[in-house]
Amino acid sequence: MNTFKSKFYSIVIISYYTGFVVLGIAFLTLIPLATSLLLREWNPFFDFLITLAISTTLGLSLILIGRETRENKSFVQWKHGFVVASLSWVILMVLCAIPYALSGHVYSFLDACFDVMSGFTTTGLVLTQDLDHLSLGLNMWRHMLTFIGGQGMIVLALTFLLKETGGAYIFYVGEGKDINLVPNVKGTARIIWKISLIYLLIGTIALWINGILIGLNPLSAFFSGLFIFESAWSTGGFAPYTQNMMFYHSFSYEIITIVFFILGSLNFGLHYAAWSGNKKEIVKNIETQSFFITTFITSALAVIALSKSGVYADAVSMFRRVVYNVLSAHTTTGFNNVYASQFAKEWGDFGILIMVVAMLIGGSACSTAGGFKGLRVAVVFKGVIADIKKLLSSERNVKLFRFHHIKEQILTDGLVKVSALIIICYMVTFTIGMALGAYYGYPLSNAAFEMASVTGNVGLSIGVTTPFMPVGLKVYYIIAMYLGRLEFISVFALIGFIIGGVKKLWIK
Amino acid sequence: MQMKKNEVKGLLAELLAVGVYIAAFYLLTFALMM
Amino acid sequence: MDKVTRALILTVVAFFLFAGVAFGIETISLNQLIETAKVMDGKTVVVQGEAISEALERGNNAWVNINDGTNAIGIWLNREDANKIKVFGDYLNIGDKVKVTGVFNRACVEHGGDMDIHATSIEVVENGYPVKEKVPSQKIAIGIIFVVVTLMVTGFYFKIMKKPTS
Repeated sequence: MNTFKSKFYSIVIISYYTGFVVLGIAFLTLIPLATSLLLREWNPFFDFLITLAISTTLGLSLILIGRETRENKSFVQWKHGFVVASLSWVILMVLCAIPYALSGHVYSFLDACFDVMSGFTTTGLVLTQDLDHLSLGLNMWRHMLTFIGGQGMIVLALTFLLKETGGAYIFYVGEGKDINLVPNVKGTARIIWKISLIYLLIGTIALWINGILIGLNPLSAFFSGLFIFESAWSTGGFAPYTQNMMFYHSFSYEIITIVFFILGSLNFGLHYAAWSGNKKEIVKNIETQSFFITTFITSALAVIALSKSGVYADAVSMFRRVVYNVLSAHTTTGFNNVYASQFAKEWGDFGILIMVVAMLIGGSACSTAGGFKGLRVAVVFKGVIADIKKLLSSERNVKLFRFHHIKEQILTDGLVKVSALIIICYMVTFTIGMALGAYYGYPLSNAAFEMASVTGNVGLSIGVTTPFMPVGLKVYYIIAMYLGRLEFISVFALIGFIIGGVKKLWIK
Repeated sequence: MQMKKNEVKGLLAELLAVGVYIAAFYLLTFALMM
Repeated sequence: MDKVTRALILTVVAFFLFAGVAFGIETISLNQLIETAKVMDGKTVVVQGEAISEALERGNNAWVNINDGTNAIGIWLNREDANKIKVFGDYLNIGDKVKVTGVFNRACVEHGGDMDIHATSIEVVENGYPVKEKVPSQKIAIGIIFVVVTLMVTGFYFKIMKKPTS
């Protein structure tokens, strides 16, 4: 029975669950807080203390406002899930920007929000200044946010804070992770975390050891290892230094990052399958096949393009400076080991175009990666082939087309349509952003590169992203990163909900 | 957190697959540069 | 040597000395160097920047990354030179400001295509120092006040949540 005291019970439900997500972030601030405390970084300590206080107060208040939900869990619907997912992200963006803003390393609160959104969406574009003098507490925060963002904040809240699973699936799908690994959502979230944490352990240790071997002292090797792993696995692309991957001057370090950023860009369902005994899935899966084909083509074309310009004389250089960056782009990671101006000046229009395509195609569905997603690209591609075959074959044959994704699946018209529609949404977002960049005077190739980086949540920059870029472009980038990461649907739900709510109020 | 035998095998299979992938791409680069 | 020859020699030497100064290599900002990489490739340059984080020792050599406020780049130098740098920049320190003379490489073959500078000589022009951290009293005050408020809200929360809503 509906015991909600108010007709606006949707707001009550949304408030309740959003409160838990906010509380989750509040707990997370304890990590950088402890880091700064241990390292005696007093300014960041207070910055995080203030953030902890504000988040806790807000979270508890939201839960209190929504407390009637406790007795009415069955009234939670899909629309609530989507709204909680998309609304939380906006609230969290503001809360998590507080430590950045208080640090003095950003020119404005908008820039702080930009970096937070860049972290959550695992994009990796940076407006924070003077990374080389950043506190370890704040660096811990930045890299942790991208790691959490990759996992999904809703997944985080589900795993630790909600005592029951009823309706939980709804929030989970709202964040774009619609793969059902086990019958219950909490179980699925737990598995995603287990896989990620085991890789976190292995990856941090591997990078730690390699860090020491390349000349870092044990403490910075550890932090670099942790941060770079978090950034690689989440396909984020943040690094603790101004020069990003160039700081390390190390081929071995780069290779280890490739291992983890590719693994991070793979579908969690694939990891689960491989870890449950179904190792063949790694090669049978349509997404890994698609990824192999598209990365192969883009890498080959990029190498050819850069051979023509003659910048790199040998295979090692070509692999490190071209293939690495193409893979970084395609998995939507965003680690770079060349300067932004090198993309602008050495890659040429053709090279830039290849990167744009790689960045837009992106990684696998249900992973930390961005872009259209390999699954959609493969489905649409196969859909086109299927349509051609249908046209050419006899009308009496009813052909069924299949593909393999975890299990054998049928290529239905509905699936092709949905995939194509989302790709169109990405393309529209991209095109508007590219046009906006051109409007502000950036060369078209630069506007395209940067917008592809934003849309695909990549993080490579050709030089457009600076604190001095036009505010309109900065705001559009924030919105586009957010839309791209949440794959549009939840955000549309949020907008629809707000419009619906406003209409109801108006009629009253 | 305990890891079951299957999980370890899966983990190793994934690492191997990525390793092979990287090696293949390095060879590709080498081939294209010749 | 007769007077004329001596005078000529002195003049020639003086000329080269002045020429050296007049056509002397000027310090270039890192960002400008990187932006004009194609033109500067292989040239001897002079850059000046703060040594960051630490020296990454590799056998008889080391990498020291320097940041001059416009950008940051890696300097490849020998151990001896690297040891001249005592303070490195991070959150709690401003690093030694070093003036580096060396060959700029747009895509160094020795280092897998890295854009770097192979130093021929370095000089510490300004010593680094630890930064005295000062927390503004307002921040401390706000911190304490907010924590108190949060504790009150938390108490209130547990009180209310104990009661059922219907």
